Amino acid sequence: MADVPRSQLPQDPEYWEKLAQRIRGDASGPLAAYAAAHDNWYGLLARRSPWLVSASAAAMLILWLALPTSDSSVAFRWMEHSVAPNEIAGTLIGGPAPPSVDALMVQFPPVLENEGEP
Amino acid sequence: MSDAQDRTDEELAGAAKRGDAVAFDVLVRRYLRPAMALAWQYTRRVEDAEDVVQDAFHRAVRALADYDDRRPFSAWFYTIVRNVARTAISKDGRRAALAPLTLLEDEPPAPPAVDPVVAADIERAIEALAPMQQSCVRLCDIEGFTSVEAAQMLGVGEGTVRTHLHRARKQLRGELDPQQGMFS
Repeated sequence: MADVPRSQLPQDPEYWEKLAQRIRGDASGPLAAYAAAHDNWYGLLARRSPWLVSASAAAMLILWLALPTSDSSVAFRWMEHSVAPNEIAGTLIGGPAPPSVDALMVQFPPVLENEGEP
Repeated sequence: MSDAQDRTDEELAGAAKRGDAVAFDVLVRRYLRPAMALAWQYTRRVEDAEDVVQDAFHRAVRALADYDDRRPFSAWFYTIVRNVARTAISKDGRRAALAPLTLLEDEPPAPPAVDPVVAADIERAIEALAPMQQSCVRLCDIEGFTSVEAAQMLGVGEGTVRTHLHRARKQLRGELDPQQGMFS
């Protein structure tokens, strides 16, 4: 025996095409509903995109205007503290002998954070 | 369309979920024949298998919204086919016509591949197999699907299909005339 039993399924290509058409016909309704739902989602976003862009730009501008301005006194205090230790280091390292604490207190009197404020 | 042909089943299902009819059409073309072969294992009648497959595709397209396209489409779809087929035969109250070598009335008779008497013997021997062995033999040896494809269709592992095939062929060899040499 040279061959296997033939398939129980139809072999005619036309049969399969007709069956596929029937299935496609059945599916057309749900597929159209999916397409409509998908288009609605994107369509809604697309229609509102100019408004969304304007709104985000306005929100960014408001946020930028609402930011607190830089405090110059704070910046100055930072600079003051950043310089002072270098001078103390120069006195400590550059002198012939290490300075006494009293001498340092006279040369670099301590500055209190809230000095001068009521 | 040619682009759609190159896409994976999961990509096509994802596109169909967004209403892409072309993607769905490619899926139908890919799965129509395997689904019919699988449905036939349950119904044993082409007309009933058609109804099962049509219903399965209809259910699948309606359930696409819930389909997770990170998971294999084939397993998901074949599960639907099997469930629809089981429901159909349980409603029908019968497994199949079970007539050996049932020929299609509306199909032009094809030239017989084998001697009708021998073919009837083979069909009877296949019918005597356990259901899973029958399905494996029919899907792999008759319909020409690979063991991997048959495993996906039947919802079992490839090793299970190979085991059933091995046992079925052994049994068929024992029952059929060794001179025929069909399942050797």
